[in-house]
Amino acid sequence: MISRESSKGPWGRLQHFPFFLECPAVHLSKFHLCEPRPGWSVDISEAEKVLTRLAQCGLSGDFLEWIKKPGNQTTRGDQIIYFPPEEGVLNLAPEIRSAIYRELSRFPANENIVGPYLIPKDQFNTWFDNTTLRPELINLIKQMSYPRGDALAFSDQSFLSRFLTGEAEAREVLSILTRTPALMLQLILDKKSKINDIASYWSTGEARRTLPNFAPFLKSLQGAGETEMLDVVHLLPPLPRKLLYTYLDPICFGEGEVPDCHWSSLNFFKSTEEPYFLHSHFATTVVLERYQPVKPPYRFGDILTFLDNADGNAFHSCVYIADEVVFTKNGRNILSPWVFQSLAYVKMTFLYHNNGRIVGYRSKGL
Amino acid sequence: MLGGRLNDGIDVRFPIPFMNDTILSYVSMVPTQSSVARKPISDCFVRVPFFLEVPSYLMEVMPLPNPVPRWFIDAGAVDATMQKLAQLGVSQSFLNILRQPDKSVQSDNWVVFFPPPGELAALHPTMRAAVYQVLREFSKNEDIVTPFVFSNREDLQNWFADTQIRPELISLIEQLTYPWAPRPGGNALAFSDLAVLIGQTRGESEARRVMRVLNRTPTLQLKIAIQPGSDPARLTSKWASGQGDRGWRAATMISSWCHAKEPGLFDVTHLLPQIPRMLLYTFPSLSMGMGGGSPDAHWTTQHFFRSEAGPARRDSRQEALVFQGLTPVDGPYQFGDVLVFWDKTQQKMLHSCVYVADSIVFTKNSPKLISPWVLQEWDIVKNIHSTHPEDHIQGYRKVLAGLN
Repeated sequence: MISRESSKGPWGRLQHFPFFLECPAVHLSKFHLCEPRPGWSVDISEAEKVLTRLAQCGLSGDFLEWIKKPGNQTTRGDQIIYFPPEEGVLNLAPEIRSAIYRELSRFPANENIVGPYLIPKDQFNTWFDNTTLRPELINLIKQMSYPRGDALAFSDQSFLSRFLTGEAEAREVLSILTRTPALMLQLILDKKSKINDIASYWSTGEARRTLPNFAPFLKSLQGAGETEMLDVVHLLPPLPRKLLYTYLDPICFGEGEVPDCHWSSLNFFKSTEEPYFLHSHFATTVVLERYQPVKPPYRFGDILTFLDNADGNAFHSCVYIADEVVFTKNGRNILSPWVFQSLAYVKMTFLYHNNGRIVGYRSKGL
Repeated sequence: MLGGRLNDGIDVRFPIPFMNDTILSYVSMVPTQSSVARKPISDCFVRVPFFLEVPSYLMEVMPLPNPVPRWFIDAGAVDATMQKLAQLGVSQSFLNILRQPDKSVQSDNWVVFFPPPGELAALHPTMRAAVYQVLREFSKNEDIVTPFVFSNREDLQNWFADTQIRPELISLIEQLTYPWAPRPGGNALAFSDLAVLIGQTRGESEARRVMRVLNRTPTLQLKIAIQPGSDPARLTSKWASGQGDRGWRAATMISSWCHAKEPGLFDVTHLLPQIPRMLLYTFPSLSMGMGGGSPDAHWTTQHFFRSEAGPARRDSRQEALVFQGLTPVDGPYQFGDVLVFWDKTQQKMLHSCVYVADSIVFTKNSPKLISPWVLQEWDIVKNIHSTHPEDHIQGYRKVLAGLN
């Protein structure tokens, strides 16, 4: 991953340093490893229709005949679970796999298909850089990945587990697949930097109420030499500063709910976290009561909500930082850290199949 | 006393292209024209020193000092103190002025003397140091008990360089400074005569400007230089020490940096535990005082490895918690060690702070709202808090199973 300097903007000049955040072993150890036999869950009441649609997706007749055999399926509650043939799963063409898994993603029991591992299409090789994963495994992952929007998705960890040498390798694969791409941002200050304008950007809106004026701080650094770099973490409010690049602390479980994206967005300017925002319903009312929609260009502290095109519900939110970078927590789970990510990456994660749109919100009266 | 250098031995080849070629200026003794002097890298660290200024919203609520110089002396100690001053060599004419009826007043248990600014300014620095050593016994002489301290004369000049303070005022400050050398060989200077200085300002705006500059805090950015392929385990063992179960965070960041394709300079802020990461370069918020006190050095030390900030208390319980469960250690110190300044009696804690790396500590030097949380050179902190040759500094360490 190579650092790059951004174009200038009201935020000043930013340098991006991309890196992967790997989930700590103490968190990963809490996860059960996959069952080695892949299964596709379908509501019993819809089974016939689903099989028809899978055929329309391109699933071969032989494949269908296989999973219809009584020995290759079972029932659990109101679900029927099909056990697909290994070779058939391995050799599914990416587009056919994509179509089939899109159909199967309607059933929450298919957890790995509903929430696949996502790797940007143009970064597949980079993802596995500096790892000790065997090339055969990387090739298998590549072979079984399928397109989803701008990403390659991977859902077949059950199948992959058959090729692993043991638990240690299984945990290593889990560690690498659950990597989170993150950005480190550095503000570049030189003699030409317009400190008051830059300070104004980082102290704007709600930040004006809660953060000190950064101008003296930035001027101090500007005077320190020809070119200075300031990590943007120092320009964040207290809470995101504390959370950035961290995973959920077990202490969070004491609240009954663990922080999600909405909690993270609404607490962005708070010096002490509000557990009230842990509950989606209340979080929604806060957005509607205290925020108003805004159009791009977004500014520091704006909340970007990802709204479902079908029902209008917000299925994700994050906070705009600068230069198309956001502060985000991509999921209410312990494998999802708080990070800076490019807005493009977050879009890749949440927007696909024309499922939603982004609406920006800004605190009212600011 | 302090030998705690992180000798990581990382091969730092320059240029470091994480930024651009100007980064080269970090590694040489650059005679900058700026207000701060750069220092060369030590091991794999790069320091970027700068001054942190008090934000306007705090300066505005801070009253300006009384422009009338005052010395407070315990009513029962006036004669003895005058005798001491005479023995030090304070001129008889100066003492006679102080004895004039309009030059002193009794208030509660204190006698307040009003030394004339002219005579006060004319004191020789050595004499001033001796006189103030006597007056330091009386806590009401706040500016004398806790003076502004400059590491040396060059530091003093840097402090005011590139500011809009009139040269006459800067000269006056230089004139009023006095040797502050509790340790042999020290070149530190102290300044206590705010009243004289403020009396020479032309109005409120200039007085506030002077106060803003005087109340600057020298601090630094500390960056760590990492080459691709560096051994994460070695660095992790240094930075995760004391963090227990939460050491994974530093390990994660170090691993990520070592796996980068380019060499980089990374802000060590990312390796600090949550609370110091949240507080670094900030000033206390008013909400932090809801526990009845303002966060001070001991609160800061106690919270270094915590994940939640507790209330600041006003009583001595805070002090007792600083080294609770810790084991006394001598240098070399390591990341997370608590350094406590004891007075010569070993009874009173003067200050505490936390060792970070490369002779840099995380510290809050006063409970005042205008005192920020900073990274500071160990020598600066010693100059501020170690006021007597017999003061003692003791390190303490949390010894965890499997982590030392």
